Amino acid sequence: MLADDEPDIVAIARIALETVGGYEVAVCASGNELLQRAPDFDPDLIIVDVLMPDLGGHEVFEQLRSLPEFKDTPIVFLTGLIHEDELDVLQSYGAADIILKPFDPMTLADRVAGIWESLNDQ
Amino acid sequence: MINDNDPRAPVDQLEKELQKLRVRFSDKLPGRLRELSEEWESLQGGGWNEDGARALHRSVHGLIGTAGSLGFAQVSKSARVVERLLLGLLESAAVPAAAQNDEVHGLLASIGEAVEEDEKALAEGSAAEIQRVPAAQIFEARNLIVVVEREGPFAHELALQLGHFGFELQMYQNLDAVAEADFGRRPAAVIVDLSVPEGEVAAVEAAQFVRNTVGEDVPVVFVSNRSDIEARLDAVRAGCRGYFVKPVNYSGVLETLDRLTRCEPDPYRILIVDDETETAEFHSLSLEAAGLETVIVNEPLDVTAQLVEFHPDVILIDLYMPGCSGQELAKVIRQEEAFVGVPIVFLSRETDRMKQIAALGETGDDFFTKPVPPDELVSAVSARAQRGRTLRLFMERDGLTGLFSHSRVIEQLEIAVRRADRHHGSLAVAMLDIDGFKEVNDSYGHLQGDQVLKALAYLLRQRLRISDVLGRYGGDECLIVFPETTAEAAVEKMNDIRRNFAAVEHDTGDGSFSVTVSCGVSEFPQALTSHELIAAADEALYQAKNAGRNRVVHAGRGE
Repeated sequence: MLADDEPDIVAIARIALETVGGYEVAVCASGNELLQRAPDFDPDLIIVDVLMPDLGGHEVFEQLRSLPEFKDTPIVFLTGLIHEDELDVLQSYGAADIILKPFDPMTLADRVAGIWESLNDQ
Repeated sequence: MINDNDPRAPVDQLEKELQKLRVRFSDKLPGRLRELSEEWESLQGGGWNEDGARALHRSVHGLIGTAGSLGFAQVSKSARVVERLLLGLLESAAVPAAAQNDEVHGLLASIGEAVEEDEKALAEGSAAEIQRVPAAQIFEARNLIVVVEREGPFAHELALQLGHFGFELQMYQNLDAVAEADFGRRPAAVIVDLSVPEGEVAAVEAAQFVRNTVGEDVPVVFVSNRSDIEARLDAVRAGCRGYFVKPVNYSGVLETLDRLTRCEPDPYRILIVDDETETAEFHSLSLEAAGLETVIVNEPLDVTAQLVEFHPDVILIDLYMPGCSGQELAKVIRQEEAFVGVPIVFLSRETDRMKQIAALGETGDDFFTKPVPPDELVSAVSARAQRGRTLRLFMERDGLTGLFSHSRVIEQLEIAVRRADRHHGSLAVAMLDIDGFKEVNDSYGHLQGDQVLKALAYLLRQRLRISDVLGRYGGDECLIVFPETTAEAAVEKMNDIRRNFAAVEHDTGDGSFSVTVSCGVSEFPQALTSHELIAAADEALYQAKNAGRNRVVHAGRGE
């Protein structure tokens, strides 16, 4: 499941994850939409953009974690990195990974597969 | 939709879809820029408000990510400049001055102009890139680095930086997690953070644990908060191959990993010159049993040919041979500039130490009494060979980049041309140049420029085969010799490197920038001599620059 307010980014990520990775992807244009739809879609992994107008990635993260069904779902931040120390801040949330924008669509699915593997290993 | 029989099908499919998105993106870009312009305009003349400015920032920020992900590198870069300016205004809570008004309009216009350049580069790159090996294969070839670290920023930053250089990182919270992990393949190195919240992990125990669980001979690198000599000594005693104090210098880590993971280029080559066939055979067998490579020459005058062909690391010469003494032969060898540094060891049945020393004269490096016991011979010769290689490295390599120096790379090219000629083999030559390197030096200083060169050198060494010869040709120009390689394959390889290098972020301390490269490739026997090959590659490089940089041009064929 993926949320980003930038339609093109959503399109790129969805196509990359579907064609190369073979994943089933639900896309949302905002943090609120993701929170609404997540229980029905029941994602195995959530990718959320950090800078969104309605609800930032941090808030989405915290709200998801407060729900029992998403207590352990791996969440990955997607960010265009605005500040130098942003990585540290994001890291402190304990996300499964952080993907920087721009990303390489060709390797995005591999990247997600890698996150999965390392989570399963732990 | 996904064809299991063809591993490239999903990649091709994705490329097609991306192409559609690119077309859509560039169609919509002028309208988007107009909107940004209007938004900015509405913030002028007393209209400045933080919410409006934040919304504008978000739009620009979105553009950076989208453009970059679709391959519009210049658009992304130009938008990043606008973002920085907006952030500056937001942070200082200042109302923009009139001059900044013009600046922003100018910058927005430059984004529109950049799209053309990007489209050209994409059109050139996409055809070649669709035929490339599937991404999965590239990943398989990557060196796997296991990182054991409790808290992530270091590991994440490292993964970002190292990803561009062909390393893949797997991260684990602690050593116990490593013990249970299935890496899929043998890690090339393990990095352990010794500083955990509870204190410091003992280096010896950590190293032992890694050896027991991951593998006996896997190199271990430590990261720690402690910079005192005791901690470092402990790490050395634990057999670690690198020790870094936090905050970690990433290029240092990169350098160490690069050294640790590079396959040993080849076994030491020992040339044995002895007219006594049986003794020569005995020495040769002793050395080969230990994994060294040997060539025996029974006739002293045949040595010259082998020097060039075999390129020995150490030469063993019998002191007493008919027709030419060992010392005479050593003098002849030393007259060749290329062999001044090769260790020469004399062999003889002479047991008198004083006579041995006298025999060494000015040309020999050591003296063995034959027959030399195998163990002694192997260890003495290996030590000489290793020192010789290290010395040669300093003599032949450029101090900054570790690449071959100008004269050495030309010499290697000439050897490769002779080989290709003799064996009717293929040979490609690439001339590579950093785009706008002068501007990098001017804007960020020469130290930063040096860092860019170093990064390029690392990337090249990572991505090229051991048999490829890599040298610094001049300022920021690199010359690469690809033996047994067609120009098509070399172009493909260089395009891969070009793309990867463009993705590297060079850290300036208060921001970062990226740099592209241009490249020209020539081929034997279209060009017959080393001189012609270099000239043709240079001409192709010139074409690449003229066509807008950030591309690889195949000499005589255009892009």
